[in-house]
Amino acid sequence: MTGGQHAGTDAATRAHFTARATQYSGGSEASLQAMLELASPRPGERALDVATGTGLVLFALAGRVGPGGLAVGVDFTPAMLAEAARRPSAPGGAGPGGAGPGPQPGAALIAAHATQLPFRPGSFDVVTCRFAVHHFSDPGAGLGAMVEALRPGGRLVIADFICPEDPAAAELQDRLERLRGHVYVQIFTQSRLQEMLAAAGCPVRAVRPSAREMRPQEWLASPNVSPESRVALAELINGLTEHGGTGSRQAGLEVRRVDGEVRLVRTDAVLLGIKSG
Amino acid sequence: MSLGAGSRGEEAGAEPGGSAGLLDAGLLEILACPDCRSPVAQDGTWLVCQDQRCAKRYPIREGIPVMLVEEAVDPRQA
Repeated sequence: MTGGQHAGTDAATRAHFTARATQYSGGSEASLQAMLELASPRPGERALDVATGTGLVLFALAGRVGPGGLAVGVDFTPAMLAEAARRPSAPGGAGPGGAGPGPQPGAALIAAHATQLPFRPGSFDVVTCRFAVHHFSDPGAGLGAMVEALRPGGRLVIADFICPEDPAAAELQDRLERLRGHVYVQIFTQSRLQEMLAAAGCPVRAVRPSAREMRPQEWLASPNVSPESRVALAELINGLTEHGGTGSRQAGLEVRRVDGEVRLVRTDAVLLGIKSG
Repeated sequence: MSLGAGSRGEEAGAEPGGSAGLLDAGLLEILACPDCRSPVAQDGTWLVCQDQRCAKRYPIREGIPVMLVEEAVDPRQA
């Protein structure tokens, strides 16, 4: 350690916020990159981001479609849209593909429900939805509405947590996520997501895994975890990391050790569906 | 402008708060009523469904169209 106590505190503070910064914007950069690669939005195209939250994907899309295109973000929580409108990244300067600081023509925010999208059918070349399908009360209807908003041949890109195919592992994942204070309706297996996209008229043409390394100690420190849950969560994490050992995979998480510290690696899925013509 | 049509100047029964300029023409072209899917037209700080039987009015608040059916003014129930 160098630089005295403040430097140590600053470094700890920085590490603290670095670890949380992406969570404020809704998740890992890796999945955003994978989404943009699969969605491949081009200048002049129309793109829709469903459940846009604070606009992370929206602003990246807006940078790609440019002033000649249109990027629309919808969310059914107006407070999230108000936050999106306030974000300094709103101009698209911060995100990959961002057009730099300054107003971003062609990015619009609309309050709407995912199952009742307020667009004429076939309006978009690209539709994206990041880490939201597991919150949907009617995922089939939500995916159906997204596909309807796409033109034939348009690209639908869905990123989400996935559930292990093995029912016991899936149950363990659900227990772990609930103890962590994660609120959701249902996390689907990758195969189920693929089935739902195909059923909605948008067969999956490509899948990208997107790994995210997490520190279980931070879960235990999270204010989302109740004191009663904390004990059970600590036991569950110990079970995963001690009994499982390095490299093992349980509850959809791979155990790693980095500098003697345990990390759990979750692999999310990014799926590209192409709307049937 | 300080009051009246300003951002805090919402009047009872009048238009929603916020200054709504004209929405982007390209956006307006693809917007539809989330309830009946008919085209909508902008009327000040409202987006109005053009289907005579539906005719729901959706507010534009702080420049953000609120296209939620439960937030719409339904003229049939007004």
